[in-house]
Amino acid sequence: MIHVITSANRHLYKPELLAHFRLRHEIYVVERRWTNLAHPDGLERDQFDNEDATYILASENSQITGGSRLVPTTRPHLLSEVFPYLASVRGLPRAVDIYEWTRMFVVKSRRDGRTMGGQTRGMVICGVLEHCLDNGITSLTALIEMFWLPLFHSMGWNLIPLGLPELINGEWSIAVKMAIDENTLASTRAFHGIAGRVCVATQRRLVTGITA
Amino acid sequence: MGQAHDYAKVAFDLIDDLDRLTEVDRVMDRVSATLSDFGYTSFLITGVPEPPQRLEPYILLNGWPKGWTEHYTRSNYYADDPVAAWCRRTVNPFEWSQAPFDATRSPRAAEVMAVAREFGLNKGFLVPIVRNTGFQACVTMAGERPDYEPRAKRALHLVSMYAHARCAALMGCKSDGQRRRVLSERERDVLAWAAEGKSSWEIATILGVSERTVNWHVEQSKKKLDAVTRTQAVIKALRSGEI
Repeated sequence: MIHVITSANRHLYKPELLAHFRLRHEIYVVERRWTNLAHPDGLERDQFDNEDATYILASENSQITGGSRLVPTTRPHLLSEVFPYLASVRGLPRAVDIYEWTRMFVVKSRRDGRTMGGQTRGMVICGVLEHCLDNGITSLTALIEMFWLPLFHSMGWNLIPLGLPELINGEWSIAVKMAIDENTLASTRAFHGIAGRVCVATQRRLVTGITA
Repeated sequence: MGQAHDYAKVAFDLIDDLDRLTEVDRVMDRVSATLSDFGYTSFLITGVPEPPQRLEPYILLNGWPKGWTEHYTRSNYYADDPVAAWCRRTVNPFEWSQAPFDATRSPRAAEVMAVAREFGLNKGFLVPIVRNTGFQACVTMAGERPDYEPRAKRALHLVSMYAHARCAALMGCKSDGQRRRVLSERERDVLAWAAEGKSSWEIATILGVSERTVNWHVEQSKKKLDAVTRTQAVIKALRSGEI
Protein backbone atom coordinates (compact mmCIF):
# COMPACT_ATOMS: atom_id res chain seq x y z
CA MET A 1 0.00 0.00 0.00
CA ILE A 2 1.00 3.62 -0.50
CA HIS A 3 1.14 6.26 2.23
CA VAL A 4 1.20 9.98 1.49
CA ILE A 5 3.05 11.96 4.14
CA THR A 6 2.74 15.74 4.27
CA SER A 7 3.42 18.34 6.94
CA ALA A 8 -0.16 17.73 8.13
CA ASN A 9 0.28 14.07 9.10
CA ARG A 10 4.05 13.85 9.48
CA HIS A 11 3.89 13.40 13.26
CA LEU A 12 2.17 10.05 12.70
CA TYR A 13 4.92 8.75 10.46
CA LYS A 14 8.13 9.52 12.38
CA PRO A 15 9.55 5.97 12.39
CA GLU A 16 8.55 5.39 8.75
CA LEU A 17 10.22 8.62 7.61
CA LEU A 18 13.37 7.78 9.53
CA ALA A 19 13.47 4.30 7.97
CA HIS A 20 13.01 5.92 4.57
CA PHE A 21 15.95 8.33 5.07
CA ARG A 22 18.07 5.32 6.07
CA LEU A 23 16.97 3.44 2.92
CA ARG A 24 17.79 6.45 0.79
CA HIS A 25 21.31 6.46 2.26
CA GLU A 26 21.55 2.75 1.41
CA ILE A 27 20.43 3.34 -2.18
CA TYR A 28 21.86 6.73 -3.14
CA VAL A 29 25.08 6.93 -1.10
CA VAL A 30 26.13 3.28 -0.77
CA GLU A 31 24.70 1.69 -3.90
CA ARG A 32 24.69 4.55 -6.42
CA ARG A 33 27.70 6.33 -4.88
CA TRP A 34 26.27 9.83 -4.84
CA THR A 35 28.87 10.49 -2.18
CA ASN A 36 28.13 14.21 -1.91
CA LEU A 37 24.90 13.15 -0.17
CA ALA A 38 26.76 11.18 2.52
CA HIS A 39 26.14 12.14 6.12
CA PRO A 40 27.72 10.50 9.21
CA ASP A 41 24.30 9.76 10.73
CA GLY A 42 23.60 7.30 7.90
CA LEU A 43 20.50 9.22 6.84
CA GLU A 44 20.30 10.70 3.36
CA ARG A 45 18.62 14.09 3.70
CA ASP A 46 19.17 17.26 1.70
CA GLN A 47 18.01 20.87 1.89
CA PHE A 48 14.73 19.98 0.15
CA ASP A 49 13.69 17.54 2.87
CA ASN A 50 11.91 20.34 4.68
CA GLU A 51 8.34 20.94 5.78
CA ASP A 52 7.24 21.63 2.19
CA ALA A 53 8.18 18.12 1.07
CA THR A 54 5.58 15.42 0.47
CA TYR A 55 6.64 11.78 0.68
CA ILE A 56 5.00 8.91 -1.13
CA LEU A 57 6.01 5.66 0.60
CA ALA A 58 5.25 2.08 -0.39
CA SER A 59 5.03 -0.48 2.40
CA GLU A 60 4.68 -4.23 2.53
CA ASN A 61 4.41 -6.17 5.80
CA SER A 62 5.36 -3.02 7.76
CA GLN A 63 8.54 -2.58 5.71
CA ILE A 64 9.22 0.40 3.45
CA THR A 65 9.76 -0.99 -0.05
CA GLY A 66 9.89 2.17 -2.14
CA GLY A 67 9.21 5.85 -2.22
CA SER A 68 9.36 9.27 -3.81
CA ARG A 69 9.46 12.92 -2.85
CA LEU A 70 7.47 15.88 -4.19
CA VAL A 71 8.55 19.49 -3.65
CA PRO A 72 6.57 22.59 -4.72
CA THR A 73 8.23 24.37 -7.64
CA THR A 74 7.24 27.73 -6.11
CA ARG A 75 9.84 26.97 -3.41
CA PRO A 76 13.56 26.28 -3.88
CA HIS A 77 13.96 22.80 -5.43
CA LEU A 78 16.64 20.66 -7.04
CA LEU A 79 16.20 21.97 -10.60
CA SER A 80 15.95 25.61 -9.51
CA GLU A 81 18.88 25.58 -7.06
CA VAL A 82 21.31 22.91 -8.27
CA PHE A 83 20.65 22.16 -11.94
CA PRO A 84 19.00 25.24 -13.50
CA TYR A 85 21.18 24.83 -16.62
CA LEU A 86 19.34 21.59 -17.44
CA ALA A 87 16.29 23.67 -18.35
CA SER A 88 18.26 26.05 -20.56
CA VAL A 89 16.24 25.42 -23.73
CA ARG A 90 12.63 25.67 -22.57
CA GLY A 91 13.10 27.33 -19.18
CA LEU A 92 12.04 26.00 -15.79
CA PRO A 93 8.27 25.95 -15.26
CA ARG A 94 7.28 27.10 -11.76
CA ALA A 95 3.68 27.31 -10.55
CA VAL A 96 1.49 26.30 -7.63
CA ASP A 97 0.13 23.35 -9.60
CA ILE A 98 3.59 22.08 -10.63
CA TYR A 99 5.65 19.93 -8.24
CA GLU A 100 9.14 18.57 -8.62
CA TRP A 101 9.42 14.77 -8.38
CA THR A 102 12.68 13.44 -6.91
CA ARG A 103 14.14 10.42 -5.07
CA MET A 104 12.10 7.72 -6.76
CA PHE A 105 13.40 4.43 -5.36
CA VAL A 106 12.54 0.78 -4.93
CA VAL A 107 14.46 -1.34 -2.38
CA LYS A 108 16.80 -3.92 -3.82
CA SER A 109 14.75 -6.94 -2.74
CA ARG A 110 11.79 -5.62 -4.71
CA ARG A 111 13.77 -4.87 -7.85
CA ASP A 112 14.63 -8.46 -8.77
CA GLY A 113 12.04 -10.73 -10.28
CA ARG A 114 10.05 -9.31 -13.07
CA THR A 115 6.65 -9.06 -11.51
CA MET A 116 7.48 -7.79 -8.04
CA GLY A 117 10.14 -5.22 -8.93
CA GLY A 118 7.95 -3.64 -11.54
CA GLN A 119 4.97 -3.91 -9.26
CA THR A 120 6.48 -1.87 -6.40
CA ARG A 121 7.70 0.75 -8.83
CA GLY A 122 4.27 0.84 -10.44
CA MET A 123 2.64 1.31 -7.02
CA VAL A 124 4.92 4.25 -6.20
CA ILE A 125 4.30 5.91 -9.57
CA CYS A 126 0.53 5.40 -9.25
CA GLY A 127 0.74 6.78 -5.69
CA VAL A 128 2.44 9.92 -6.97
CA LEU A 129 -0.21 10.33 -9.66
CA GLU A 130 -3.14 9.74 -7.30
CA HIS A 131 -1.80 12.26 -4.83
CA CYS A 132 -1.26 14.86 -7.58
CA LEU A 133 -4.71 14.40 -9.11
CA ASP A 134 -6.31 14.54 -5.65
CA ASN A 135 -4.58 17.85 -4.98
CA GLY A 136 -4.90 19.69 -8.27
CA ILE A 137 -1.30 19.20 -9.33
CA THR A 138 -1.33 19.22 -13.15
CA SER A 139 2.36 18.79 -13.96
CA LEU A 140 5.53 17.38 -12.50
CA THR A 141 9.08 18.38 -13.26
CA ALA A 142 11.91 15.93 -12.78
CA LEU A 143 15.57 15.29 -13.40
CA ILE A 144 15.72 11.76 -14.81
CA GLU A 145 18.32 9.52 -16.36
CA MET A 146 17.82 9.16 -20.10
CA PHE A 147 17.34 5.40 -19.78
CA TRP A 148 14.06 6.03 -17.94
CA LEU A 149 12.51 7.80 -20.93
CA PRO A 150 11.38 4.61 -22.73
CA LEU A 151 9.58 3.40 -19.59
CA PHE A 152 7.61 6.64 -19.31
CA HIS A 153 6.89 6.58 -23.03
CA SER A 154 5.58 3.01 -22.70
CA MET A 155 3.37 4.05 -19.78
CA GLY A 156 1.77 6.64 -22.07
CA TRP A 157 3.22 9.72 -20.38
CA ASN A 158 3.73 13.05 -22.12
CA LEU A 159 7.28 14.13 -21.32
CA ILE A 160 8.45 17.54 -22.48
CA PRO A 161 12.23 17.96 -22.38
CA LEU A 162 13.45 21.27 -20.91
CA GLY A 163 17.01 21.06 -22.19
CA LEU A 164 19.56 18.75 -23.82
CA PRO A 165 20.88 15.70 -21.93
CA GLU A 166 23.84 16.31 -19.58
CA LEU A 167 26.16 13.88 -17.82
CA ILE A 168 25.28 13.89 -14.11
CA ASN A 169 26.93 11.44 -11.70
CA GLY A 170 28.13 9.53 -14.76
CA GLU A 171 24.67 9.08 -16.28
CA TRP A 172 23.09 10.95 -19.19
CA SER A 173 20.26 12.84 -17.57
CA ILE A 174 17.58 15.28 -18.61
CA ALA A 175 15.11 17.71 -17.05
CA VAL A 176 11.52 17.11 -18.13
CA LYS A 177 8.06 18.48 -17.52
CA MET A 178 5.39 15.79 -17.25
CA ALA A 179 1.81 16.86 -17.88
CA ILE A 180 -0.47 14.51 -15.93
CA ASP A 181 -4.20 13.79 -15.89
CA GLU A 182 -6.67 10.94 -15.35
CA ASN A 183 -5.54 9.33 -18.61
CA THR A 184 -1.95 9.21 -17.35
CA LEU A 185 -3.13 7.41 -14.21
CA ALA A 186 -5.32 5.00 -16.21
CA SER A 187 -2.57 4.05 -18.67
CA THR A 188 0.01 3.74 -15.88
CA ARG A 189 -2.31 1.43 -13.92
CA ALA A 190 -2.98 -0.64 -17.05
CA PHE A 191 0.74 -0.88 -17.82
CA HIS A 192 1.50 -2.27 -14.36
CA GLY A 193 -1.66 -4.34 -14.00
CA ILE A 194 -2.83 -2.28 -11.01
CA ALA A 195 -6.61 -2.48 -10.69
CA GLY A 196 -7.50 0.46 -8.46
CA ARG A 197 -6.44 3.01 -5.92
CA VAL A 198 -3.08 2.39 -4.20
CA CYS A 199 -3.02 5.29 -1.69
CA VAL A 200 -4.50 4.56 1.71
CA ALA A 201 -6.52 7.17 3.56
CA THR A 202 -4.56 8.68 6.42
CA GLN A 203 -7.56 10.20 8.17
CA ARG A 204 -8.12 7.12 10.28
CA ARG A 205 -4.59 7.32 11.62
CA LEU A 206 -4.95 11.03 12.21
CA VAL A 207 -8.00 10.39 14.38
CA THR A 208 -6.33 7.68 16.46
CA GLY A 209 -3.42 10.05 17.00
CA ILE A 210 -5.59 12.52 18.86
CA THR A 211 -6.18 11.75 22.54
CA ALA A 212 -9.52 12.81 23.94
CA MET B 1 25.51 21.34 -40.08
CA GLY B 2 26.65 24.94 -40.19
CA GLN B 3 27.65 27.11 -37.29
CA ALA B 4 24.38 29.00 -37.41
CA HIS B 5 22.41 25.84 -36.66
CA ASP B 6 21.05 25.39 -33.19
CA TYR B 7 21.19 21.67 -32.36
CA ALA B 8 18.73 22.00 -29.50
CA LYS B 9 16.19 23.81 -31.66
CA VAL B 10 16.38 21.16 -34.39
CA ALA B 11 15.86 18.44 -31.78
CA PHE B 12 13.01 20.18 -29.97
CA ASP B 13 11.22 21.04 -33.23
CA LEU B 14 11.29 17.38 -34.22
CA ILE B 15 9.98 16.26 -30.84
CA ASP B 16 7.11 18.75 -31.07
CA ASP B 17 6.27 17.60 -34.60
CA LEU B 18 6.40 13.86 -33.80
CA ASP B 19 3.36 14.14 -31.53
CA ARG B 20 1.30 15.42 -34.44
CA LEU B 21 2.37 12.73 -36.93
CA THR B 22 0.01 9.79 -37.06
CA GLU B 23 1.42 7.93 -40.03
CA VAL B 24 4.63 5.95 -39.96
CA ASP B 25 5.63 7.20 -43.42
CA ARG B 26 5.48 10.79 -42.22
CA VAL B 27 7.57 9.92 -39.17
CA MET B 28 10.08 8.32 -41.53
CA ASP B 29 10.29 11.49 -43.66
CA ARG B 30 10.51 13.82 -40.68
CA VAL B 31 13.21 11.80 -38.91
CA SER B 32 15.17 11.41 -42.17
CA ALA B 33 15.13 15.17 -42.70
CA THR B 34 16.38 15.88 -39.17
CA LEU B 35 19.12 13.27 -39.27
CA SER B 36 20.38 14.54 -42.61
CA ASP B 37 20.74 17.96 -40.95
CA PHE B 38 23.31 16.25 -38.73
CA GLY B 39 25.05 14.61 -41.70
CA TYR B 40 23.46 11.18 -41.40
CA THR B 41 22.09 9.97 -44.73
CA SER B 42 20.50 6.74 -43.51
CA PHE B 43 19.20 5.18 -40.31
CA LEU B 44 17.44 2.22 -38.74
CA ILE B 45 15.04 2.02 -35.78
CA THR B 46 14.83 -1.52 -34.49
CA GLY B 47 14.54 -3.93 -31.58
CA VAL B 48 17.84 -5.60 -30.71
CA PRO B 49 17.19 -9.26 -29.79
CA GLU B 50 19.82 -11.65 -28.47
CA PRO B 51 21.28 -13.87 -31.22
CA PRO B 52 20.56 -16.51 -32.44
CA GLN B 53 17.33 -14.56 -32.85
CA ARG B 54 17.39 -12.60 -36.07
CA LEU B 55 17.18 -8.85 -36.32
CA GLU B 56 14.76 -8.54 -39.23
CA PRO B 57 11.45 -9.26 -37.44
CA TYR B 58 12.24 -6.48 -34.97
CA ILE B 59 12.85 -3.67 -37.45
CA LEU B 60 10.46 -0.74 -36.96
CA LEU B 61 11.71 1.81 -39.49
CA ASN B 62 14.23 0.89 -42.16
CA GLY B 63 16.05 3.82 -43.70
CA TRP B 64 19.18 1.91 -44.77
CA PRO B 65 20.56 2.22 -48.31
CA LYS B 66 19.03 -0.09 -50.92
CA GLY B 67 20.41 -3.60 -50.75
CA TRP B 68 22.13 -3.36 -47.38
CA THR B 69 19.43 -5.06 -45.29
CA GLU B 70 19.10 -7.80 -47.89
CA HIS B 71 22.86 -8.40 -47.91
CA TYR B 72 23.02 -8.18 -44.11
CA THR B 73 20.24 -10.77 -43.77
CA ARG B 74 21.53 -13.11 -46.46
CA SER B 75 25.04 -13.07 -44.99
CA ASN B 76 23.62 -13.55 -41.48
CA TYR B 77 25.69 -10.60 -40.23
CA TYR B 78 23.59 -9.90 -37.17
CA ALA B 79 25.21 -12.54 -34.95
CA ASP B 80 28.66 -11.05 -35.69
CA ASP B 81 27.81 -7.35 -35.91
CA PRO B 82 30.07 -5.64 -33.32
CA VAL B 83 27.87 -2.54 -33.22
CA ALA B 84 24.77 -4.60 -32.38
CA ALA B 85 26.77 -6.57 -29.81
CA TRP B 86 27.93 -3.38 -28.06
CA CYS B 87 24.40 -1.97 -28.17
CA ARG B 88 23.24 -4.94 -26.10
CA ARG B 89 25.85 -4.12 -23.42
CA THR B 90 25.41 -0.38 -22.85
CA VAL B 91 22.79 2.28 -22.20
CA ASN B 92 25.00 5.10 -23.49
CA PRO B 93 25.10 6.32 -27.11
CA PHE B 94 28.31 5.57 -28.99
CA GLU B 95 30.07 6.04 -32.32
CA TRP B 96 30.20 2.82 -34.31
CA SER B 97 34.00 2.93 -34.25
CA GLN B 98 33.83 2.67 -30.44
CA ALA B 99 32.18 -0.77 -30.59
CA PRO B 100 35.04 -3.08 -29.61
CA PHE B 101 36.02 -6.16 -31.60
CA ASP B 102 39.18 -8.12 -32.27
CA ALA B 103 39.67 -8.31 -36.04
CA THR B 104 41.98 -11.32 -35.82
CA ARG B 105 39.70 -13.28 -33.53
CA SER B 106 36.48 -12.26 -35.22
CA PRO B 107 37.14 -11.66 -38.92
CA ARG B 108 33.39 -11.75 -39.49
CA ALA B 109 32.96 -8.63 -37.33
CA ALA B 110 35.59 -6.86 -39.43
CA GLU B 111 33.78 -8.02 -42.57
CA VAL B 112 30.46 -6.57 -41.40
CA MET B 113 32.07 -3.17 -40.84
CA ALA B 114 34.00 -3.24 -44.12
CA VAL B 115 31.00 -4.19 -46.24
CA ALA B 116 28.88 -1.57 -44.44
CA ARG B 117 31.39 1.05 -45.62
CA GLU B 118 30.94 -0.18 -49.20
CA PHE B 119 27.24 0.61 -48.82
CA GLY B 120 28.05 4.17 -47.76
CA LEU B 121 27.65 3.43 -44.05
CA ASN B 122 30.97 5.00 -43.34
CA LYS B 123 30.66 6.55 -39.91
CA GLY B 124 27.83 5.79 -37.55
CA PHE B 125 26.24 6.67 -34.24
CA LEU B 126 23.94 4.49 -32.16
CA VAL B 127 21.52 5.35 -29.37
CA PRO B 128 20.50 2.30 -27.26
CA ILE B 129 16.98 2.25 -25.89
CA VAL B 130 16.28 0.02 -22.89
CA ARG B 131 12.70 -1.09 -22.68
CA ASN B 132 10.86 -1.84 -19.47
CA THR B 133 10.90 -5.57 -20.11
CA GLY B 134 14.68 -5.50 -20.33
CA PHE B 135 14.32 -5.78 -24.09
CA GLN B 136 16.76 -3.58 -25.93
CA ALA B 137 16.02 -1.40 -28.95
CA CYS B 138 18.05 1.26 -30.74
CA VAL B 139 18.21 4.03 -33.27
CA THR B 140 21.34 3.67 -35.37
CA MET B 141 22.42 6.12 -38.09
CA ALA B 142 25.24 6.54 -40.56
CA GLY B 143 26.68 8.85 -43.17
CA GLU B 144 29.83 9.82 -45.04
CA ARG B 145 30.79 12.72 -42.81
CA PRO B 146 28.38 13.08 -39.88
CA ASP B 147 28.54 15.79 -37.26
CA TYR B 148 30.32 14.36 -34.19
CA GLU B 149 30.05 17.58 -32.13
CA PRO B 150 29.22 16.67 -28.51
CA ARG B 151 26.20 18.97 -28.60
CA ALA B 152 24.98 17.31 -31.80
CA LYS B 153 25.27 13.90 -30.14
CA ARG B 154 23.27 15.06 -27.13
CA ALA B 155 20.56 16.39 -29.43
CA LEU B 156 20.52 13.08 -31.34
CA HIS B 157 20.32 11.13 -28.09
CA LEU B 158 17.10 12.96 -27.30
CA VAL B 159 15.73 12.83 -30.85
CA SER B 160 16.30 9.06 -31.03
CA MET B 161 14.41 8.35 -27.80
CA TYR B 162 11.38 10.25 -29.05
CA ALA B 163 11.55 8.91 -32.60
CA HIS B 164 11.63 5.35 -31.29
CA ALA B 165 8.77 6.02 -28.87
CA ARG B 166 6.62 7.45 -31.66
CA CYS B 167 7.28 4.51 -33.96
CA ALA B 168 6.65 2.02 -31.18
CA ALA B 169 3.35 3.72 -30.34
CA LEU B 170 2.22 3.86 -33.97
CA MET B 171 3.30 0.33 -34.80
CA GLY B 172 1.92 -1.41 -31.73
CA CYS B 173 5.31 -1.68 -30.16
CA LYS B 174 6.80 -4.56 -32.10
CA SER B 175 10.21 -3.93 -30.58
CA ASP B 176 8.84 -4.27 -27.08
CA GLY B 177 7.05 -7.51 -27.74
CA GLN B 178 3.64 -6.96 -26.25
CA ARG B 179 3.84 -3.70 -24.42
CA ARG B 180 0.71 -4.34 -22.43
CA ARG B 181 0.87 -7.54 -20.49
CA VAL B 182 -1.86 -9.95 -21.37
CA LEU B 183 -1.15 -12.74 -18.87
CA SER B 184 -2.24 -12.74 -15.24
CA GLU B 185 0.39 -13.08 -12.53
CA ARG B 186 -0.58 -16.75 -11.97
CA GLU B 187 -0.36 -17.52 -15.67
CA ARG B 188 3.10 -15.93 -15.78
CA ASP B 189 4.18 -18.01 -12.77
CA VAL B 190 2.98 -21.21 -14.39
CA LEU B 191 4.69 -20.47 -17.73
CA ALA B 192 7.89 -19.39 -15.99
CA TRP B 193 8.09 -22.79 -14.29
CA ALA B 194 7.18 -24.54 -17.54
CA ALA B 195 10.09 -22.68 -19.13
CA GLU B 196 12.30 -24.24 -16.43
CA GLY B 197 11.22 -27.66 -17.71
CA LYS B 198 8.78 -28.44 -14.88
CA SER B 199 5.78 -30.68 -15.51
CA SER B 200 2.25 -29.72 -14.55
CA TRP B 201 2.44 -31.96 -11.51
CA GLU B 202 5.72 -30.35 -10.40
CA ILE B 203 4.38 -26.84 -10.95
CA ALA B 204 1.25 -27.74 -8.99
CA THR B 205 3.43 -28.88 -6.07
CA ILE B 206 5.62 -25.76 -6.21
CA LEU B 207 2.69 -23.34 -6.33
CA GLY B 208 0.54 -25.30 -3.92
CA VAL B 209 -2.41 -25.69 -6.29
CA SER B 210 -3.95 -28.65 -8.08
CA GLU B 211 -2.56 -30.04 -11.31
CA ARG B 212 -5.92 -29.26 -12.91
CA THR B 213 -5.56 -25.60 -11.98
CA VAL B 214 -2.08 -25.51 -13.51
CA ASN B 215 -3.39 -27.01 -16.73
CA TRP B 216 -6.22 -24.53 -16.76
CA HIS B 217 -3.75 -21.62 -16.45
CA VAL B 218 -1.70 -23.10 -19.29
CA GLU B 219 -4.80 -23.36 -21.48
CA GLN B 220 -5.75 -19.75 -20.70
CA SER B 221 -2.21 -18.59 -21.51
CA LYS B 222 -2.27 -20.48 -24.82
CA LYS B 223 -5.51 -18.74 -25.76
CA LYS B 224 -4.21 -15.32 -24.80
CA LEU B 225 -0.90 -15.79 -26.60
CA ASP B 226 -2.48 -17.42 -29.62
CA ALA B 227 -0.31 -20.50 -29.15
CA VAL B 228 -1.13 -24.04 -30.17
CA THR B 229 1.18 -25.93 -27.85
CA ARG B 230 2.56 -25.38 -24.35
CA THR B 231 6.07 -24.96 -25.78
CA GLN B 232 4.90 -22.32 -28.20
CA ALA B 233 3.16 -20.47 -25.36
CA VAL B 234 6.39 -20.51 -23.32
CA ILE B 235 8.38 -19.20 -26.28
CA LYS B 236 5.87 -16.47 -27.02
CA ALA B 237 5.75 -15.46 -23.36
CA LEU B 238 9.56 -15.29 -23.22
CA ARG B 239 9.80 -13.28 -26.42
CA SER B 240 7.22 -10.75 -25.36
CA GLY B 241 8.84 -10.31 -21.95
CA GLU B 242 5.82 -11.70 -20.09
CA ILE B 243 8.13 -14.06 -18.22
